[in-house]
Amino acid sequence: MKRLIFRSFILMVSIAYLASCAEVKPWQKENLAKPEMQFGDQTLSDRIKSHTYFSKESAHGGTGSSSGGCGCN
Amino acid sequence: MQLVYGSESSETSIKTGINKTEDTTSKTAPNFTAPLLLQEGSVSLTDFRGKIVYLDFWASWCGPCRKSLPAMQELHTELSKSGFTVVAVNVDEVIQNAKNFAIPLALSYPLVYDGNGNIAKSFDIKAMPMSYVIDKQGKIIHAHKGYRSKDMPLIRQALMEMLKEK
Repeated sequence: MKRLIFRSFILMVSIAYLASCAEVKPWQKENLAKPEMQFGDQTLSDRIKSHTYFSKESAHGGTGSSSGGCGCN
Repeated sequence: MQLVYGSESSETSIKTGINKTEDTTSKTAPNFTAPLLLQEGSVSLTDFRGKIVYLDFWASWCGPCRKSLPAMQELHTELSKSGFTVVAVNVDEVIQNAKNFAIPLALSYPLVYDGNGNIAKSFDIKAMPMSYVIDKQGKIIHAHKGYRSKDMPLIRQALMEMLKEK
């Protein structure tokens, strides 16, 4: 039983360390703000489509951003 | 008087005059010494003690900063003789990008360079751009996330009120 608990503990710790997510602070978003980091290659048309989408769906977000992470809409 | 305004909950905070969502206000601003971006030498935040400081964090890759920096120049030109100054902190990793961005704007207020993000980290900024109004005693009075041109009259008004206070 002890061995099982120990193995479970080791497994949980390993999984926790495998997670590679790190918070990117606002001042560290230089590379993320580059045009090549956007999903689409047509920034203007993508923004127009996004605007139409969230206007129709009454929902906003979840589609990325072409800005540098500012607090502006 | 305390105000915190920006893109989030800005309307209510400006109307009520008090906002408790930001815990950075009323704290003494962390001091820093940083090199000037476009000139030789360095400046410290304490060099401006006795003045009201509008501390603005910006980057060349930040779209709204294209509008905010010239707007800050207007404020600086208007109020600098009344004990007010803008200090703009750049957080670009590549200093030349910052210079290329700032030189055409012909800004007369101090621009300092924070390429490693230490100043931004000490203020724990939440957005880009983000700005703080620091009173004559060095305390953070206002925090402002992002930039929207319609905020400017409110910022100007708040600054004018602060400058009237002794």
